[in-house]
Amino acid sequence: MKRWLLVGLVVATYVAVAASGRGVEWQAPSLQHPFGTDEYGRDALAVALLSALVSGAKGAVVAGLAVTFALGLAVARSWRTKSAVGAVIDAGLLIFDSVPLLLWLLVLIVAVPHPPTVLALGFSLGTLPFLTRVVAGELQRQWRQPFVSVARMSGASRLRVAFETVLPNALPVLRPVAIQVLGSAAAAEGLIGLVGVGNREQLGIGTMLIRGREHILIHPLILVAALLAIFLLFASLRALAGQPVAPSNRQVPSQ
Amino acid sequence: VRFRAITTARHATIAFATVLAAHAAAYALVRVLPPTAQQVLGLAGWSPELRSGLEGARQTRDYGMILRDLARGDLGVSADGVPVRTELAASARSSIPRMLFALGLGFAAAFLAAWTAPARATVATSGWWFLTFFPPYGYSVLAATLVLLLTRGVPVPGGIPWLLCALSAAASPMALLAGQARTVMSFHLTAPHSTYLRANGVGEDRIRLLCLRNALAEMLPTMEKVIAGTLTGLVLAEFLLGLPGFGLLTFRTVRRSDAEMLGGIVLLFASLISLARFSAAMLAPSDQELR
Repeated sequence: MKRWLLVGLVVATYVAVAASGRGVEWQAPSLQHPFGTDEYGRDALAVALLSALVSGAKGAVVAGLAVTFALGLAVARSWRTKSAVGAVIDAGLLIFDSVPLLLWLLVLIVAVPHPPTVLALGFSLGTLPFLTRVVAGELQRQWRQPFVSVARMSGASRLRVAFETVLPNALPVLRPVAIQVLGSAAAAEGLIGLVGVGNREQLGIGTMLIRGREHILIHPLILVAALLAIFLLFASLRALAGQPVAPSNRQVPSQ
Repeated sequence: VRFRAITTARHATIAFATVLAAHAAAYALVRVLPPTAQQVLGLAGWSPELRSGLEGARQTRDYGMILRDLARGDLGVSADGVPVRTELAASARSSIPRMLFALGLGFAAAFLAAWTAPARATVATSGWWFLTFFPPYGYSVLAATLVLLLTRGVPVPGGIPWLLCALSAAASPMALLAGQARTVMSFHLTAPHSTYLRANGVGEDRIRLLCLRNALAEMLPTMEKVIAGTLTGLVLAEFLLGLPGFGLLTFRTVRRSDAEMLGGIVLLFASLISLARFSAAMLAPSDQELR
């Protein structure tokens, strides 16, 4: 029920904002505009709510892309210990990680003229070394555990052991990483904004955060609205996902 | 002992090779970039004199020559005509203490979270999840805003921006490590090996100490990456707070497409990351040592 209420709230906000037009810029807080208006004359609270919605959707896609890339590489790296493929992936990631992210971002901005693609690719590439190394390290450690050997000895295929034993047992380590990736993905456009590239008018919690800092002396409520948007996005995702279940014991596939 | 020596040599060789490969990759990238990157970053508006001065100052050594000089410990000269080594040393003097402080905070938070983890199946609290979810660069943005508000007409002690910079670089890795430490530790405290120790009368503190070793083994890949994450966070925080160090140096270097300086920065970053990775590989307990 709580989940549907949240979804309803977000949809209602979207409809309300879509129906409202632009007013006078930099208006002080009032009953009509509780957080005032921004430099484009938009209601700051409505922009914050919409930004949370837009960033949540964008973040899910971008984080999904990054996790898929990383999981693929991590599985390839941890499938067999001491394989040549694993060594090549390791070296490639380390080389990639050593070059400042800013330089990779610039290469992408120059090479790809489409900003959303730069955002998705930049974020995926930026998080790839971190995600792959953490996921692969944990999967590799799990593959060496005695209960995985038991599962293998009981006749389960390698694929089944991977999905039913290795991945569930790796969750305590992987869940916080996934949360961080999702949060970073939702606000990724702000990182590109820091380099001085990007459209300040677009909706997104990252852009709002940067604008909040830039206008802190003129209109501090923009930053407050940005923080509220981040919190609302977190609370919505938390409510939609439900309480994470704590792992109570090592899981071995049943016969 | 021989096996250990071979493993150490293998890890050291890999670390050395990847540092050199990263250096070559950065050199190649920066050679491709200059004109368009300068446009993207808004340097197209620079006066022709300033731009020609910058171009004239740029070194034109080929990569073979760079490698030969590197073998002699010469990192070259930056676009400003200052030896890269001097620039790096000056930035390191500012950034390394901040980085060590940030890492210390992260590891201390992880230790505290692990030590106080409840002995029941649990997950980290909403507060930790939110701190982990908050965009990593967002902490630097907030720190920079706070400094801006504090310095409005009132001089603030230099220690405050320094502390805020280190805190904002540490916040995200610290939340990640602490949240993970709490969950992993709780997991071990409820595992059969802990129950067995409890049944044999071993004290709770002793069990926690023993479980810390297992938890450490699980968290080593994250810890190793946290060092790279803190370095990236520091680069952004220093840039936003306008503090001297790796952040301002990196942004300035990339903006100017200064290949020599960038080579030095990448060499330093790659060495730090490789060192962290090498240490993690050496510290990791073998499966026989666990449980």
